[in-house]
Amino acid sequence: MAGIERVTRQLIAVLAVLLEACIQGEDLHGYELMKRAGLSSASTYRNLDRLEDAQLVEAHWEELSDQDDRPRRRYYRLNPIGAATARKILAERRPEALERLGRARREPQPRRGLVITFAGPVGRHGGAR
Amino acid sequence: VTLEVLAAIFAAILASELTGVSRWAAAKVTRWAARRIYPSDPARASGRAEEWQALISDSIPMNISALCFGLSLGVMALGRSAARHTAALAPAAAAGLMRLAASGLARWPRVVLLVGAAVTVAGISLPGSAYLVPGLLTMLAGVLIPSGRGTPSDAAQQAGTKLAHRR
Repeated sequence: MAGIERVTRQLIAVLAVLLEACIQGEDLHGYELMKRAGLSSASTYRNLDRLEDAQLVEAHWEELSDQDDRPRRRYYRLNPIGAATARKILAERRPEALERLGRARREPQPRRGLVITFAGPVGRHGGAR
Repeated sequence: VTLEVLAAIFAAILASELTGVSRWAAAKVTRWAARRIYPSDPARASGRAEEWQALISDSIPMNISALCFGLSLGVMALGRSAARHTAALAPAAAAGLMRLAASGLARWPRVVLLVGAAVTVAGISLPGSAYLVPGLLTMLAGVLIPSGRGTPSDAAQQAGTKLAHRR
């Protein structure tokens, strides 16, 4: 695999979680990644190091405003080459995980965030203007 | 006894949850671990230390989980540190072994061959370690070095002959 000499069970777990997040347009911080992959912090960061060294993962620091009174977090996301590599590895080593990801993508996802609906004055014909 | 042990564990967890000493300890351990895990890359070490501090202080929900997070990284740091020290010592150990093989153990080439085989097996089972080449060289030495006073079986035969003469 590109930049990865040895594909371990832990690496596959990290890749599956990162690929799922990538499909859903999410960035994950280390603890979230660790929880979803079901790994220890050491295993998670060992594999993140490998993925960063292989330039398959992009990391960025959270941007905080002046009002935020907490330390900034570091978020991770697969880059396009990383996503392609993850798909390839999952297809070879854990096809059922890739199928589950495919099903999750086809099924309608619940909307996230605030949904603003227009509730203006009703027109003459009873419909919203 | 089991109940007492369980009560002690529960009391320790409760105390750590109430006092927040676990988060403090986890922060200390992760700062130390970052320096040990990335000794050759100070920028990466400080970045990871900041990242882990942020997770411990803000993202990890329970104090005991924060401590487990920190301890896991601490164990990883200890492992990396030990591996580095072993790798640093391996060439010196191999050189000593070679000297030993060339002097005293040269009398028993089979022993040299066996030691070389053991080191080679260690080199194969620990990929990336510095054992493989010294192991192969030691095995080669065991094959090539001519025996000075013969093999151990020869020595036993000689001792047997001496005994027979005495009788």
